[in-house]
Amino acid sequence: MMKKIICFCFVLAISFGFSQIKSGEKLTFSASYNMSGLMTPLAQVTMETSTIATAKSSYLHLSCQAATYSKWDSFFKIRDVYESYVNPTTLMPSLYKRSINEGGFVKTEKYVFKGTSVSSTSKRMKKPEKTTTFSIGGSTQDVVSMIYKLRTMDLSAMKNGQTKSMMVVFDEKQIPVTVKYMGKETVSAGNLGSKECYKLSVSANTKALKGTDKNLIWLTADAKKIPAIIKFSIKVGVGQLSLSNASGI
Amino acid sequence: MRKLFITLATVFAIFGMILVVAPTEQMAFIPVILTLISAFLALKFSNLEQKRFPKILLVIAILTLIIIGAKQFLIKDEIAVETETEKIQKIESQKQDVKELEELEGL
Repeated sequence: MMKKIICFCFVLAISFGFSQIKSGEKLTFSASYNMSGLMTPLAQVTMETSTIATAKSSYLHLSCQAATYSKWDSFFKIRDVYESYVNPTTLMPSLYKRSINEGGFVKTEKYVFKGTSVSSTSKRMKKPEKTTTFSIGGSTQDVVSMIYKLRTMDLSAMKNGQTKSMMVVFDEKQIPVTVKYMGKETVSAGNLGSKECYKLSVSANTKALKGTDKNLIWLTADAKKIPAIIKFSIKVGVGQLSLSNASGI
Repeated sequence: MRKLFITLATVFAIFGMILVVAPTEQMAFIPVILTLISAFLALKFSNLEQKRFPKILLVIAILTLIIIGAKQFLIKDEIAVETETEKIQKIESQKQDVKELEELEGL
């Protein structure tokens, strides 16, 4: 009997601790880019989760797709797909893929996680395929699974300015990422209405992200921790993703 | 002074028209307003025989404003519908991923 209770408690703990991410969840964002001081809606970003089964086990498929609105397609077409196959309980990745198609620039990347080593394959435009193998720590994530992992963290006990560190695989190497808690704010969260959110600042040791506290994410301050707004500052400018629709949460 | 305002109004009008043709119609609002102001001032400094061109610039600015409004209301922010080829490619890619994961499990 005791064994059953402990077992039940363990399952419950896992459910609350890790498995906040449900299969079938679909988050749609409107991506805007700052053009001469005006935030111009440019693309739609969709984050979806689904269950994928292999002969031996099942994975949570995390997919993040960006597509420019039709009116922009003839000027600058973007079709980016970021995918990660993770353990549904721990959210640790097994396979991560990145396919970029931005205004004719094409790049594909594939990362296969084998314990503490990652073998990556990348192909840029017509250049030959590049294969690398590098070592990682036991808790290293990819960019997509990191966002979901962030949602499973307990942020309620964090104080202003408190940080958490993570390791992420990016551009064929492992880089440290720091997440700083910046308090709570009420923001608009699409079809969920106005929501009190945890405000987090994400910084990484990479040239891709610019500025201090310029890369921000607002997660709803509830059990779901849905990203309501994501602000980013990159080499080519400043932009924002605003949640427009959340379903299957 | 009239020449200056006419030059400014013409430059702003051209900018506005370029921006309104592109999907950047929101940005066209600023040059269009500047065209209206410059063209109005050019009209003030013009005598009776010189009023035709500033009036044309005013009409262009108003028409551009109408196009901005129409584009904002009529053209919705929507992404293109996925083609059958794209759907098939997605399914094939996922099948390949499952194979890759199964190979990984066999390690």
